[in-house]
Amino acid sequence: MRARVRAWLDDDGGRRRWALVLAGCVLALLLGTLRGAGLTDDDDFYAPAGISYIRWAGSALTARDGAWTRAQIDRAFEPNHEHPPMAKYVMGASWWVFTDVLHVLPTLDGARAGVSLLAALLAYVVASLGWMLRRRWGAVTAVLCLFLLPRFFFHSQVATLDVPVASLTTLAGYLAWKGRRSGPHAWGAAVAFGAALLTKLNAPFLLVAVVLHWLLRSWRGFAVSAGKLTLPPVPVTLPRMILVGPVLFLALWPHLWFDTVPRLGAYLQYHLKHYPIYLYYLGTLYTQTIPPWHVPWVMFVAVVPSTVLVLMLLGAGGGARALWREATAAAPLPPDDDTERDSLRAFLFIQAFIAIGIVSFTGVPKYGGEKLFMPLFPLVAVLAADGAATVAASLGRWMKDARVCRALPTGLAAVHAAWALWSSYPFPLSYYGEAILGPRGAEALGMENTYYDVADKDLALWISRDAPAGARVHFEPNHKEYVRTWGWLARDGYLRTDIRTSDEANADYVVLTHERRWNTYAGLAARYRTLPVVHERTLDGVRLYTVYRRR
Amino acid sequence: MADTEVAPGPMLTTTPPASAAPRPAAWPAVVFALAVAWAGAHRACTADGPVTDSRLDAVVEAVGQAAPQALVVVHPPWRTDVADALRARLGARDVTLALPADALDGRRPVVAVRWPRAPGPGALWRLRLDGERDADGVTVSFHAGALGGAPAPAAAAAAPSAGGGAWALPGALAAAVVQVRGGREVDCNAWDAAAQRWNCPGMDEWNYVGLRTLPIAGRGRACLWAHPVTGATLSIRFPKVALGKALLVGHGLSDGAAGAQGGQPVDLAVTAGAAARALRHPNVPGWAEDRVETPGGGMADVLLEVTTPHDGARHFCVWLEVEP
Repeated sequence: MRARVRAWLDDDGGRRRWALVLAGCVLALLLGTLRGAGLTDDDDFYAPAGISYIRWAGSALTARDGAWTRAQIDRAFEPNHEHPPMAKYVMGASWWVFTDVLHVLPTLDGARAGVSLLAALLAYVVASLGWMLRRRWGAVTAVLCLFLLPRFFFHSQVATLDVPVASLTTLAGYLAWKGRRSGPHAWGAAVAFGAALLTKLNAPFLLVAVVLHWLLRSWRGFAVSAGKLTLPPVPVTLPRMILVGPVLFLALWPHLWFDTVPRLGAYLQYHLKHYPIYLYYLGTLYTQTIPPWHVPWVMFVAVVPSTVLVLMLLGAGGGARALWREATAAAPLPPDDDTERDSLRAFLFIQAFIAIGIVSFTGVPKYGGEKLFMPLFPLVAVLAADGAATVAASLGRWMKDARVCRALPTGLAAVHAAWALWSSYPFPLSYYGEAILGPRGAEALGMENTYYDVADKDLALWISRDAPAGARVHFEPNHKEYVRTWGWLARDGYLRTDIRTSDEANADYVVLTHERRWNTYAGLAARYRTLPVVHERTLDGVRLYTVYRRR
Repeated sequence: MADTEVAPGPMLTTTPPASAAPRPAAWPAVVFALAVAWAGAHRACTADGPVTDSRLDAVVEAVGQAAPQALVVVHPPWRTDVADALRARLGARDVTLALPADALDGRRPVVAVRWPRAPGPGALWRLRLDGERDADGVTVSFHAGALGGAPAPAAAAAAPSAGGGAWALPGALAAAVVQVRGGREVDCNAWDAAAQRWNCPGMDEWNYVGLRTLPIAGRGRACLWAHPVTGATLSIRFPKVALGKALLVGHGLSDGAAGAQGGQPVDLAVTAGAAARALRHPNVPGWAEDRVETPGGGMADVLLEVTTPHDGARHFCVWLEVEP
């Protein structure tokens, strides 16, 4: 048995061993710093829903409490039924393990650990893809270029659906690629695609990438003869994904087991007619209208450290080149290793373009910085491995030592990104890269300096230390979100339980987050200007929030 | 790290003879080196310039040329020290670090004081530039009105005209009494003259009554934002309105909110003296207009009461005119 495990780990030059080590490092880093991550306004939606779902699953598996009745299912799956349950199952399961059984994490962190577990799965997949392109350095580069991105790191620690859907779509894409020739991988792709569908609505677009890539490789096989259309061989993955994915979607979302058609219709309608969410972008406030198409592209360039960005763009350029070569070749390219790698680059490029394109070129609301196109980042991180190799080859013009050439781009980019993460923590959502002159440049140009109404744990600690007994705190401009998240901070031991949120009239402290996407911000800032400032948080000199003593 | 792996790509292969493969291009390394250098050097582009007396004097002298009601905005927004110093010297002038809604829309003249070394400000790109002065290295620019394509001034362009010219909603708003009653008791008594709205202290940001331009039925419509509150009544009282034959009442939901999944109807009760009428706006797009007869005219308070079973995405807007 041990020999078989060792052989499995050592296969393909040790790809799995390296991927597991890298995934383990990522998981350790995420779990080790989990307590520092602030709360988003989504944590309170997804974590309790996940706990409700997993409690039902426990009852269902043991056939207790009438779990299989419609009443119990509807009750358990009512919370957050706007989104499918897969990521919330994982959050609920990790809450059960870390909080309910092991008692090593408080409630919300227990659920959030589930997202970190999915992020570790993503690290494994990204390392594997990086290995397929550039072996060991590729795996290392891809993982570093993804998980040291400040904003991606933050999203990997909070109870939201964006990293989970990035994780599962990347996994499904990876298996779809491998499944072109392997039966088990094709089934794996189908199951992973179902899991991705069960996570968030951007998952179905993976099929578009798979189909486009198939057309790209196989267009020469289409023929019309005597009025009959002949198709090239369809990869085994595709029909399995199309058939198994939706079946899993329905089978594993009990909310859809009753009134299936109207509830499915409501799910689609909710997202097709999503209410507008405020966005402050290049000095313009978008409150009712859909922001312009270039928002996600500009945000992508703006939130990635410059060195990592160059590697990603170089890699994406290689992907585009591979796509062009594959599409325009007069005859099918020979199936050797180089061609396969080029084909993988093209596939990753198509996926990446679709991941950001569906946000950019459709009428969906654009908000929340980079969160809506999170599946882009793993793909460009893998392509960054190619970018690093290109730079390394270029450095070879001047340097003889190939190891130094390989280490320099990856090492410098990793150190730079790690510094970016370190210096912005615990506010990675406020990080901006050098392409936009950092947080200062972004603030000056009129970009959001934060979003997601992050409840900062440092603020909770400060106020727990300094505030008088029974202190009342009011938040502006968006108080209601902090009512929910500060409740969690108190329950989980980050905040003194006698400190409460309150309306402004009864507040001892007012916390003003400097978010200009609220059109009341300017008036509020003017109103509080005369109050004494007792605490302030800045990033690179840019004010994120200010605490005023009201009485 | 052992170096025994199979070499699959160009960089990992054993260096071939120079004649067998083209030499790698230099530009990727150069671009990467520039990115590394830029990571260290970019800070110089946003470094804080000093605040000196001579500079402040020059700025104050330049700002003095602007209209008295012009808003002075200091840029970049983190220069609280500059804003404080200018407030001390400019006295009554309104000095801010962030533009309020009326200035963003071009409804209020703006003087931008751009301290050296900061990009932007993005918020001014949509405003018409009327002039610019250098004040000891500080750029002072004068702006009035929005550029073409910018949102129209809320109280002007798309606003229906008030009937008879005697009573007009935009002007009457400042005298209105706005309250949330029922489930919550809040006096929305925080008048924001710049934004032309009554804010409701302690409530959510969207709980205000004020002039907005909303996309309704595919076009921008100036109207009175009156977002209802679950379990409470939003009450807007216009005192001593000179009534005519009738009140013309327009109402609608913004295009983004109308038809929202699970969206509830909004009820609007209109009372004008002895006349009263209950109106309902269903969860559908479009702008509806109703007529409330006010026989005999005379002077009376006009009361609008807005309610809904659930306030999710109820971006409700109303308009009132007096039919003479």
